[in-house]
Amino acid sequence: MVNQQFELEKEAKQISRYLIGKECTGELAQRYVEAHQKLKIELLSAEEFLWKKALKSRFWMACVDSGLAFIRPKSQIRRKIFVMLALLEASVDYCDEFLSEKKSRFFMLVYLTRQGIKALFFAVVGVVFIKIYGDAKAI
Amino acid sequence: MQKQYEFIVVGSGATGAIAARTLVEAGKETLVLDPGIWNEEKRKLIPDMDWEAIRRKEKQQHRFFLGDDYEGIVWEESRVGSQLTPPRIYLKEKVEEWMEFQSQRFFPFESMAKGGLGGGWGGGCFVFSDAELQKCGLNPVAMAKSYQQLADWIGISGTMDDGGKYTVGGLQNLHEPMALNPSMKLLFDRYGKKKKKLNESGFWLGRSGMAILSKPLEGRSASKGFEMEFWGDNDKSIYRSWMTIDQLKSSPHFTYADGWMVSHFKETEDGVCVSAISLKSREKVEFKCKKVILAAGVLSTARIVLRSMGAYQKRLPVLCNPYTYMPTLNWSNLGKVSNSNRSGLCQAMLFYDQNGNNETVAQAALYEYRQLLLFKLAKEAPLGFRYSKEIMRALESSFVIAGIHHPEEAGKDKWINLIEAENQIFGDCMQGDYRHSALEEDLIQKTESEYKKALFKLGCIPIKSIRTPQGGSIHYAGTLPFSESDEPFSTQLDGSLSGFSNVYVGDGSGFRYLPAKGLTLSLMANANRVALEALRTMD
Repeated sequence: MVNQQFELEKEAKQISRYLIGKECTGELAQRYVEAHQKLKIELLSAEEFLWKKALKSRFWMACVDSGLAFIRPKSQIRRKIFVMLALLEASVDYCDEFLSEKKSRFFMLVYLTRQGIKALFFAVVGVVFIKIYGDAKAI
Repeated sequence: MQKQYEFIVVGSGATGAIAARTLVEAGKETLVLDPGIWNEEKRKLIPDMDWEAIRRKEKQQHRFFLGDDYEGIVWEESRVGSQLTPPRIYLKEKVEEWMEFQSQRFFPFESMAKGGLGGGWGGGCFVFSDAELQKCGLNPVAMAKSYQQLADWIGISGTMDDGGKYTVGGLQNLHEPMALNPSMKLLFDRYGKKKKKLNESGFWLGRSGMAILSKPLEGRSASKGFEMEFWGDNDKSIYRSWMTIDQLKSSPHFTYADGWMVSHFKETEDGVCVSAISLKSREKVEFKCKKVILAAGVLSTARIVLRSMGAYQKRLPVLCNPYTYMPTLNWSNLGKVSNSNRSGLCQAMLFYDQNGNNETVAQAALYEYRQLLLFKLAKEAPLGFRYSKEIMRALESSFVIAGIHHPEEAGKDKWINLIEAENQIFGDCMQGDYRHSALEEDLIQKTESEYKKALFKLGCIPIKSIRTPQGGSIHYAGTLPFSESDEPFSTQLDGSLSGFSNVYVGDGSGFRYLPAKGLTLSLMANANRVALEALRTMD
């Protein structure tokens, strides 16, 4: 039980690094553990491999999340990330990562293009990875 | 011997509260019977600060934004009612247990809360045109008086602009409308430039009439522009039916009995006997009165009437406005952020009056998105959450969500009935179906298509069009339609239930037609009218 809690806290910090580029506080990691338990999130055995891969680095989490968004958007892996996103947004410490910023329209268009290209890149890599490697492992 | 009240009102929602107020102000001994589910705990959590200050300073914000059981983090597909914020989830508490509704295609939303569905009302106020009232089966002259009574009681802000004839037309003593949020101001500016073309195609833009105060009224405060309307209403600036119930409690003529679900009624020699079951003990108790006003909400009123008449399997008609969500992007607001004195409520209405006669009008309420939090939006894009969040954050100031209501007529494939079911608390269960004809379907699609063009002219690029499941508009009516004859399962024009002398229907059960315009003000005005009719026969 203690071990599982420790693993989930580690998971929270890793997801947080992927979502906002920094580790969340211990308090928020504990909230993730609580939410995880109350919402009864359980990975399917077929998802275990992909999740382990995602936890290795921000790069792999981006690939797995983006790939699944395209192939299996309702995957429990995505649900874990979604829960962390909600927790980060509803916390004083990280609200700046979510509130809109006043910028010029030109800046915003450049920013949107950059984010779109990144999203597309990770979606392509993620889909290829999941199709070739992730699904094969699941079988 | 058990006390006999002069009136019993069943339900405390928008119609029950107004019927009760009308009776109490006439000095009549009135009992409101209601399940009365309430949640004070979450209400107390929400601080008296504006949305952005809460986001930056309130450490407990996750408790009301996400909920103590994280019920605000909804992963499943959206269903009717899943848009409720955690402080409002009590609105649907116990409903499945006490009021099961079976259907493959019709998913109505009901409430057992104190104040009923009125607790989640967006505050939009619309006076139906004479033509619309007549199609509903309502008398425009009597309704005009009741509309004004309502405006004086609840406080309506609004103005006579281009949309005025569809919103607050004819009402006096209006409050000043709230200041426009910057992105909405852009829409009005654009409308000013494109007005001629839009009007020629039947579109009119205006401010919505809103049940929100810009000056204090009856112990309620003026809105502070805190943009927290979907989360809390502690300052009582937006009207909620429970406020009327709480206010009436100080009257010696008024009794509020919560914890009761009304089962059925029986007319006796000297009045009506109303049977109810206790929510806590399941004890059955009879309450006596001279007259009863049923205002439990259209579907619950139908249950009570069908049960009272032993009419199992009897099909009743039902009406529910089709509803389309249309998220759009207003590029001209990209990167513009303003934080002070904002409203999260609808600030602009785009009406589509194709024939220009204010009779068959579709309406789109235009909302900003910000106060509903970004994470829900991030789920909608087929992208990794990190990038989806960044893209949505950048676009958030440009989102304009159009919520389109379509007008609705009765049809043979729109019905409900009550069937016997031993395992249910009342020994029965409601069923229903809801299907549009090919012609109606075609009309809805054409309306959606016209809206896309009009929104585009206003600078809002439609992203997609999402039709909610039938029942999603949360506007229901027409189960006991108004009738001039005395046929059973209909409502007389004075609001009495056909075949009964002392039973009145105060909610929307009588409306034979559902205009697209927001229904709540008209429901409340009708409840006032019916209560006045009931008083007249009493005197």
